[in-house]
Amino acid sequence: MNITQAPTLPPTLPLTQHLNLQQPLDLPAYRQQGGYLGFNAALEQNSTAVLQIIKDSNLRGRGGAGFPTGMKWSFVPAATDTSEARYLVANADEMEPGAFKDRWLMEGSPHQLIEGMLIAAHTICANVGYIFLRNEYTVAAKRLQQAIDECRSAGLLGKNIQGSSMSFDLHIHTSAGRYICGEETALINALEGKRAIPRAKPPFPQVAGLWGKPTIVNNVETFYNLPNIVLFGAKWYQSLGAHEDAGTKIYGVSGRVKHPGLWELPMGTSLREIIEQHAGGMSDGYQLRAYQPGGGSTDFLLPEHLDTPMDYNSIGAIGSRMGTGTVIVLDDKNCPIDMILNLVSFFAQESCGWCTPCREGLPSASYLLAQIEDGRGKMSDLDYLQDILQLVSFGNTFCALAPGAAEPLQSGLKFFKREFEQHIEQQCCPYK
Amino acid sequence: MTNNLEDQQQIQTDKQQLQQLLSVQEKNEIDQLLAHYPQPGGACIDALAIVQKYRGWVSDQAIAALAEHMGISLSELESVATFYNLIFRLPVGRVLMHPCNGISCQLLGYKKIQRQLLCALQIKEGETSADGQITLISLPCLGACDKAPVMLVREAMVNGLEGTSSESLLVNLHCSELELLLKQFKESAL
Repeated sequence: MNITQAPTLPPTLPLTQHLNLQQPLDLPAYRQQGGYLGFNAALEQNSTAVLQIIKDSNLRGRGGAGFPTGMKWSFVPAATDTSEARYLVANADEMEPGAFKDRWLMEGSPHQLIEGMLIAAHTICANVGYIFLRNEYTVAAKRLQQAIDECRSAGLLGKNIQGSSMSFDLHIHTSAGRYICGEETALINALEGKRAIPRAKPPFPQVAGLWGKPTIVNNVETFYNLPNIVLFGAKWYQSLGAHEDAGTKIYGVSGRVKHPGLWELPMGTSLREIIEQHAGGMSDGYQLRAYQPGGGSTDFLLPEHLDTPMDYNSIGAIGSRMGTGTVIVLDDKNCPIDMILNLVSFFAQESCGWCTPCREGLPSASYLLAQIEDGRGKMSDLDYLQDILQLVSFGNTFCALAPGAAEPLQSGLKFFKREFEQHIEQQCCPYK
Repeated sequence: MTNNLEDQQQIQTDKQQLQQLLSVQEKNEIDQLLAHYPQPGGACIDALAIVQKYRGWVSDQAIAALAEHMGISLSELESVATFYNLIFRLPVGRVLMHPCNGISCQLLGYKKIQRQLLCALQIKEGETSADGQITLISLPCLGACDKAPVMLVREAMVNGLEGTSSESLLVNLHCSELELLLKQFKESAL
């Protein structure tokens, strides 16, 4: 075993400290830089103790919903029989429009995902893991497979890991392109080889998930947080946040900004700092019109909201969601209706078709938006769009896909009312 | 009774013929993946992808052969095969071009790129060029929004298509038809 001295100083960028997009660290190099020490520290403690650290850290799931990770894990029943299958899944099916953070992490630092998964597996006593990977992420697939092979040869995956009683094997499952697979229970159906339609809850996956066994599904970025939380503790992790929520976060910006990209920043960094400082502000000749703070399924926000901290509660309080933390910027030269049309059409196409409001409502909304954008809209279409919003709201649909699709539409109808009316009055798109 | 026996024999022959449809290599790769799952259904997307890797698309016969080989029901496998965007149930060209139609790419000019490519290929979205070489299927957000607009060609991501960087396409792709197409594309973009 390759023993490395434990680092005495915690990293300032715990998620990206090992990130190298050109040539990610191989196992010896990752260990040289302190890799797998977090896992070793976890392995020395029993699973209850590790679970308590994660709970205390206030880590919230980075897939978009922000559910507390420790609490999610605590719903897994205690393992009575270690031979019974229990599953751990990394949700790497990143298909949220405008989100590109998980690809970045996996391509740049594949071992940190495996280390995070090992810690989670130890905590919930999982013995088999899957990385549910998006088909198009071929570079990440190669790098992850190489890292898995290295770990298997080094005894970090397989039976009796590091001489302990822990056994855990990890496989990559490549999907074939469907947004709904990002929904936890649809993902489980997909993994079982069924059509990826969501399941009714309860039973919750923690109790009866993959093949009826206890299963935890976490987002890729969530796993990247784990090694350093175990090594440096919950207090340290909480101190990283700039506002209410703990830790750091991968934030991204795309659209007409000077420097689109991704940055690891303290959780709760203001939107203004992210867009104006890190993304360099708008490209020359373009004005900021509006933006979606956390990917395609989040409500639009306006320039007046820029000083809001980007964390779950603060963004929620002003009527949107932090989602994936990847901001999509709308400039003044792109048509807002066309943007909403693109988003709603995407969600309509990706609806699994299981429940009627989503299957029928989203294509209708997409059709009406196309009519308006193409100059054939009627004022009554706006009322009809409001009706559809009601139809696909939470409680009326089987999962969160359609309510997510409704977010840019409902805020768009509010913030771009004038543009909608202009399209209809002039019977054309004023931006073309 | 005789008829029944003949039927049975016919079914056996059909099954054998179906099994022979898959190559040894395909079967080996599929069997390796079956080991990752407690039940064979878990490997079905992978299995479809393997068949597609060697044949370009997944025919009805190939699905029947796969179901037989994996011991899962035909209708189950078919329902999965038709669910996903990237399992092709019709023949596609030798080269797949996937411009990203995600919102970040659209804000930076996806529509213009798609229009120019379709025009140069003389096809509609989802179709294959007359020579059977190139199929264009736009895909939702490819997760490279900081480099938008992007396009996936033969599993390679081509970044920053706005402006002059379509040259990088030519360097990376060794396909004469595509070079011609991209030349036209570049000229029309000027």
